[in-house]
Amino acid sequence: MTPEELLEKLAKAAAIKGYHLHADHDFCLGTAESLIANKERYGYMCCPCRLASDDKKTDSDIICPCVYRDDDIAEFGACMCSFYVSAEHKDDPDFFPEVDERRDPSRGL
Amino acid sequence: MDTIYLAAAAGVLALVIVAAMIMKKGKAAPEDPDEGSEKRECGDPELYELGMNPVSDKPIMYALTTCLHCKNTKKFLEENHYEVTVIHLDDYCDSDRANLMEKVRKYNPRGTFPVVLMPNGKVIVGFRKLLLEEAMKK
Repeated sequence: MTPEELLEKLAKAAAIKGYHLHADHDFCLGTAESLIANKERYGYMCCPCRLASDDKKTDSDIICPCVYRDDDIAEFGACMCSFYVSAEHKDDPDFFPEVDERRDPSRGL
Repeated sequence: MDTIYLAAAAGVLALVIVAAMIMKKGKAAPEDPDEGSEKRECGDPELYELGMNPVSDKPIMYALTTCLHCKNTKKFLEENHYEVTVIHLDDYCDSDRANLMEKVRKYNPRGTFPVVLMPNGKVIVGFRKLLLEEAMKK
């Protein structure tokens, strides 16, 4: 799967929940490449902004889209990576909010 | 007749030697689990040492190869003529990866990336242009 194909697939899935991919297409392409790299390395699309433990069970909460995405978008308008954004920010290529990490530090490495 | 017996004995002996060699190889496998499998590269040892003991006159950045904010931070520092040493944690394996992550959490308990250690002691978490600019002035 190419990064473009992945983006298309993820954009469709996000739209079902009313989310959008970030307006900066190059940023999204880079993120898609990272997701593909993680899939090749670990066997699952671990969040590219977090360090994978290389154990699918441990990383189950940070497989993209992570379980924190809904709360992050509701509070900050974007997920931690700024890959997914709310409808309100869908056209803003400079929208990169500071999103607090919700993941319990005791999880993962 | 003797020639036939000798040939048969030599054949049996050869089979025994081959079987012994196969068994020996089979027993050796658990001592070296990587034998025959593709070895994964596990990061630069010198950068690991720097990551564990981050003392440098250049900024040090703990990052991930997959993290776009890390790439943007590096680019921003370099555009401002700051040479930065980048330690990609996802290049490391097993205990090295865990040890480096433990180190990162000392500077940033949430464990997010990037974490930049400026030579003046400032710690900047995330791609924060204003904070980086401020830290570069001092």
